[in-house]
Parts: sequence; C-alpha cells; structure tokens
Amino acid sequence: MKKLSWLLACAVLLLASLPVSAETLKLGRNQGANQTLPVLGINNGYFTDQGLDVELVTFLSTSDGINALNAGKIDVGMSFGTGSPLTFAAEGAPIVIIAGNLSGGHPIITTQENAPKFKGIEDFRGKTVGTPRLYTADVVFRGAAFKAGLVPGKDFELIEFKRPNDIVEAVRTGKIDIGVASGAVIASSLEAGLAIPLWSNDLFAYHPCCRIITTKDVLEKRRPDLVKLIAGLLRAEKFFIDDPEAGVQANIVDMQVDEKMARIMTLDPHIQLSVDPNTKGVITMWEYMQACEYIQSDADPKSFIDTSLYQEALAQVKSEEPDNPYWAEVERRFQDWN
Amino acid sequence: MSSASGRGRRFGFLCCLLIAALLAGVYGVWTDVLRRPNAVLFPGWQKIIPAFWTGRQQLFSGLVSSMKLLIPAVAAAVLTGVTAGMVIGLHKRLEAVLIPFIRAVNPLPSTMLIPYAIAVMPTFWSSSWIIIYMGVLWPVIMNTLHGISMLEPRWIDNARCLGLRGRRLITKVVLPGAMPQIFAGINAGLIRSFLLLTVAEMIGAKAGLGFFVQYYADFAKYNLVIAGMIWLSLVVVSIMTLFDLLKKRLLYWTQKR
Amino acid sequence: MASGGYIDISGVGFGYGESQTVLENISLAIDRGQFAAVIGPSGCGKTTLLRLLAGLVRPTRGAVAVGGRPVEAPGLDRAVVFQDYSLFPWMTCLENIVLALDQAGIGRDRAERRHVAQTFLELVGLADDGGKLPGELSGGMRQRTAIARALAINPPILLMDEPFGALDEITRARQQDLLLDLWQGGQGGGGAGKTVFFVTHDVEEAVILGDRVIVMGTGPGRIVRDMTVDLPRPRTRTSSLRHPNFNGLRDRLLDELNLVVDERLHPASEDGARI
Repeated sequence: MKKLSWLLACAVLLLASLPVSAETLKLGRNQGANQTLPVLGINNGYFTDQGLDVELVTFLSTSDGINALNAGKIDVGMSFGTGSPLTFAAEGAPIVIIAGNLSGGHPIITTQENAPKFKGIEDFRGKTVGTPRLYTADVVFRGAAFKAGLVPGKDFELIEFKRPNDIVEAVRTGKIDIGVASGAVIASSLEAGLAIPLWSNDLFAYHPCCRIITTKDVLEKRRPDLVKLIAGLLRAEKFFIDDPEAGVQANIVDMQVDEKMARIMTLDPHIQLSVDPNTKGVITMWEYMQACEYIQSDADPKSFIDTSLYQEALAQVKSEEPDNPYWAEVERRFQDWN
Repeated sequence: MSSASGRGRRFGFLCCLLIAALLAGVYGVWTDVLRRPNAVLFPGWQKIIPAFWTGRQQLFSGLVSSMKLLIPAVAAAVLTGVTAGMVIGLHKRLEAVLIPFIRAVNPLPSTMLIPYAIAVMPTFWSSSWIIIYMGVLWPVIMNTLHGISMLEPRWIDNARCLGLRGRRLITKVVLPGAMPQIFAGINAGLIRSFLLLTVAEMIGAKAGLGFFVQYYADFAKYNLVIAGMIWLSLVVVSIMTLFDLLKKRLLYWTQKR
Repeated sequence: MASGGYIDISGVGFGYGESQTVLENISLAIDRGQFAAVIGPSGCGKTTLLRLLAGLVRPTRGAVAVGGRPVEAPGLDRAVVFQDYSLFPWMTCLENIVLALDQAGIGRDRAERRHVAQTFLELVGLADDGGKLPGELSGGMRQRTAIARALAINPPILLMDEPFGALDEITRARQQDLLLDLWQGGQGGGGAGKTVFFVTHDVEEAVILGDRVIVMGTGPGRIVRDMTVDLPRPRTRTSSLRHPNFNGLRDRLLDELNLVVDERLHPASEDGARI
C-alpha cells in the first residue's frame, strides 16, 4: 500500500515535470506590470480560438526574464520594458522586438506639497531625483533631461535604485524630492499619499514601454504561433476600447488590487494599451540610451525589430471584420509610428 | 613542527590554485573554444579578462565603498550582539521571553526590509548599513546565547568558588567560555553580510562590490559581472582567511583541550 | 559524631522536590586540621555533600557550618579542587593562579601575584610550566596546578572531589605522595594545618591519605560508618601500604562497601547532584 502510494507520487511528479503540450507558448511577464491585454486575450479565448495555448510565467526581475528567454525556457517576453531588451540585444543576444503591449504609464511621484512645483523637465533643476535604473521611465527621463540640456550630478542630483518600490519610500520620507517610478507602483504611491504631478508620457509622448520580444530561434520555429499571439492581442486591444470595464474586472483578479486601484491602473489615460511595435519610438529610446551611455554599440536598432508579424496579424484580424473602422485607425497608427 | 604545518598549508594553497585553474580551463574550453553556451550569459575568458582591466577603477572603489559599509555594520552588530546576548543569556527569564522574538526576526528576508530601512533611517547609507547590521546581529545574538547555555557547569562552579561575580565573572569566565560559539556566530554573520551587500547596495548606492555586479547584470554585461563576482569571491576568501587566523589566535585554547 | 567540630554538618538533607532525596539526615563533625576521606559507591551523594560544604548548593534540611558560621555561599576560605575543570582552559596555569590570588586579595600588584603564583607552581614541581595552557599539560600536571592554586590562596579548608580519579595508577600514586607531603608540612609548609574534605571512590587512597574514613551508603545518601585510620604520621604512600594495620583497615572498608552495595534496595540514582 505504502509502495503503491510512493509510486503514485513519483508518477504524478514525473507527469507534472513533463511539458504539457509542445503547442503551449510560454509568455514571460514581470511582477506587477500591466498585463491587461494578454489577460483579456486569455479570458476571452482569443488565443485558444486559433488553437494556441498560452501560459503566463512570472519573473521577479527583468534580467531574469530575458535570460530565461535567451536560454529557451520561455518563448516570448511580454513586459520586460524597452531598455533591458535593447541592452541585451546590444550585447549580442538574439532578441527581436515583434510588437508592443503597453505605452507610457509610468508615474513621476512626489509629495502633495511639492506636486505643484513640477510641470515639466525644467522643474527638475536643483532637485534630488530618484530613478529605477534601466526601467523604461528611467530611460525616458534621462533622455528628456539630455534633450533639455540638464546634466545629472550638475543640474540635478540623480540617485539610482534597483527597485521602483524603494523609490516610493524614499520620496515619502523626503530623502529625494521626486521619484521617476514605474507603472507597478501607481497603487502603492497613491496609498502612501503621494501625488503624480507628471507622467513619463509628458516627457515623451507615446513612448514605448513593454515590448513584446522573442528570440531569433523562436521566430524561426514558431512564427505562425507568434502571429496568432499578436492577432489575439489586437482583438483584446479592440475589446478593451469597447469595454474598458471588463479590463478593470480582469485586473482586479490578475493584479489582486481593490476595485478603486484597479480602475486607476487600468483606465488612467496615461496608460496606453496598444500592440503596435512603434519602431520610431524604440529607435528614439535607443538614441536616448546611447546619449546617457547605457549603450556603447553602433548596431542598427532596426535590426532588432521585426514588424512583419504584426502586419500579418493585423491583416488577419482586419480580414475577419473588414468594415470595422477601428482596424483602419490601427493601420494609420502603424504608418505613423513605424 | 611549524615548518611541517607551513608545508601543509602551502600544499593546500597549491591544490586550491590547481583546482581553480582546472575549473577556469574547463570553462574556457566550453566558452572560448567550443562556443557552446549562450554568449551573453557565459562570456569567454577573452571577454572576462579584459573586463578586469576596464573595470579596475570601479572594482577598487567598489571594494573601498563596500568595506566602508561592511566594517562599521559588522563591527556594530558584533559589539551589540555579543552584549545583548550576554545580558539576555545571563537572565534566564528574559531569555525565555525574548527567544521567540529573536527566532522570529532572524529569518525575515532582507529585501523585504529595504522600504522599512529607507523609512526609518535618516540617510541612504544608514539604510544600507542597517540592512547588514540586522542581518549580522541575529546570528551573533543567537550564538552568544547558545555559547552561554553551553558553558561547562563546572566552570561556573569554579568561578563561584573563587568568588567571581558581576563584570569580572563575565569578562574572565562567561565571555571567554562562550567565545567559540560567539566566533561561530560571527562567522555565520560575516558570510551573511556578504550576501546582504548586494541587497544593501540596492539603495541609492553609487559604488560597491554588490552594486558593481548588479549594475552590469542590469546592462547584460556579464563579462563585467563575472569579473566582479570573481573579485568579490577573492575578497571574501581573503577576509575569511584573516578571520580564521584571528580565530586560531584567540581560540588557541580550544585546540588544546 | 558529636557536633561542635570545625566543620559541622547537622541533620542535613538534600533533594530535588519531594520525589528525589539525595542525602538524608547527615550529621558529621570534622576537627580543625583533620584529613577526612569520604568514600562510597556512586550515587551515595558524596559529591553533593562536598558541594554543600562549598556553598554551591544549599541543604533542603539541616545546617552546614564552618568555624561556627553557617555556610551560605561559596567562599575563599574553602578552596575546591574538582576532578577536572578546576582550571579555566583559556588561561595559562600561572594566570589561573593569579586570578585566584587576585580574588583572595593576596599580593599588592600583578607582579607580586605572579611571583606568588610561581612559588606555588614550584611547590608542586611545575616551575617551568606556568606559561602553558591547562590543555597542554597531562592530567596529573593539571591536578597539581589545581592543588597549587588551592594552596596559594591559603584557605583553612580544602575540599577535594575525587581529584585523582581520572589519573592513571602511577600518576595517582605520585599525586598522593605530593598531597601527603604538602599537607604534612613539607616543601616549606604551604599546605600544613589545613582541614581537608577528600572525596574518593578508591579504598586504598582513602586509607593512605585520611585521618579518618567516612563511608557513605545509598538510597538515600547517608553515613554508614566513620572509621579512624590509626596509621602513624608523617606518612608516605609506601609507609602506609607497608604498615601492618593497612590491610586490615582496607579489608574492613571493603567489607563495609560491599555491604552497602548489597543492601542497595533501590536502583542507584545518578551520581551525585551535578546539575
């Protein structure tokens, strides 16, 4: 009897460790990042409709996620920002940006009393600023400062953080004047009684944030699945435009926040959910990173971007509803941004 | 006898070097020659060795910066930990009340403490300091308590027969008698402090051994990361060797019992 | 066993709670300058009796007094030599003695105390070993250092708890001769006139050393016999062994002990009260 239960336990363990299905596309996500589109896509069956199984795998750090992607442990990175994938690509990792997931949406936080002082990049002069190193908002802020001729260490004091969460506490206790945070800390910033006088979008409109990335290897082997993924996300994007409330409800479950917070984190106009790869925006980010010496590479950033899958997916969803005006709008957006 | 043990030590050192060279060689063949693994995460020696040169200034300033953080934090933790351990350990009723708390606080993950450290401490440096301090404090207290509870009852009898009381009892008997355990606690604390260095240097740091490794990991410059890790390991090995020498000197009597 | 001795134990009982009685109704008087050997099987409470005298534990019944004053705590008037552990292993032999001297207030400064300590080390034949740690010495040398320390603070009473119990035959014989010599005023008289309470489990040792031998029994610990050793002083180990009365004394003691062991109705409690 005891032997049997042992055997059974071993069998269960063995089965559990086997891959469920070769078809499942493993999507890596970062803890706390906005995942409204993939979550809606899963909830509404937009992937299974096309015979595609997806699985979300959560990582605590962006580097861990991208290394897992490089090692073939996941197939797609959904929310590893723009900066980190570009640094890995600059170092020679075979990373390809195939679409987008989120644009903008990173709060710049300060205390209620300091909030009126911050209206634009010039107001950072002489201040102590905290940024989360290499997060999208960090790159956007450094780029904006560079463009405005503000030099860190001279025109303002820059303090780097490893984690955006720590910036909230540093602002609250007055150790820094203002913090360039990330979308993951919107809720905790507001709960701490902080104000958001600016958003990253105010420094760089429609700046790309979470890009959808994969490796050259996966691109070669599973191209059709990737197109299905993007098509499903495009349908989720349109669904969300029509029914934002469904996005709020999905995020209450997914992010495990209360309704008030879920509403802010889903519906704030600075959080722009679009699947467009935004080549121009990515190239600007690349140039910003070169300017602040995050990247020392003369590679062509276009070589890390492949928009053909997005175009294919868009053509597919449009062919399903050729008269829907939204797809024409999305097509126009693609022309503008790429 | 000393020359014999000296020869033994030299032999051990040579063996260590040989094993290190062997491991480095295997890694080199795997990366530089066969080019098997993914080149970002596993850079070859031809990329790592120049990284020591390009990173040399930061590696040294990182060492200085880390030591400026580590030494005051560990020293304060050892001093207060041993003192607190003595006070608690010599008052059995206090010990019974406090032990559950010490056990509860000890394994708390330090990364979780970062926001609290920032909130409570006045500066970023002191926030980093307290992360290491707290990490070292608990093992030192626990081991001091353990050392006191493991004191030979005969030593205490003996001390009482000699009329030793109060401070003299502590300095002449309790402290030296508990010293082997206290050293075990400091040993554990030291190892922990190196692990915590990377956590502590997440907070607004501009230099440091842990900072260096994390910084370049963010930027996917794993040749610098590996150079930093090798450098960190060398520093850890050197400090632990010095610590062992100190321990051998101070606890000479334990080898002669 | 009349009361009124220099060491006066009257009606002493000791136990842990209600259930475990280690000693019951012990009365014993030891005269000043007397060498009293205490012998008994393990579990008879002889070590506990010594700890009561040392003031390390308090009796649950009865009273212990030394020189007319009740014993309430350990004191430097009663030096204790334990079987082992008498010395702190982290101090050199000399430092161990200096610490005791310091406690006893002997010597004006450290240099003087070191000098005194050195003379006592010489007394026990360890002139060159003061700088060594106890762990670097043999068991016999350690016990000699412990005796030197006990004598150095010049207490009227020596309490010795099987001090030679862990030594080999030959070393033990030498230590016995040394102790006899010191107590009888040899080597400058540092050990003369002390009242000694000497716990042992060795019958021959008791007879060789003691003026009297107190035999203890078990279940619970009590005194079953108090025997005078009428061997002439000054003695040496050899002179005692060769004395015509020696064998008779030893055999009578052995008989007593055998009787005690045979009579043991209850299973032996663990040896003594070493908590």
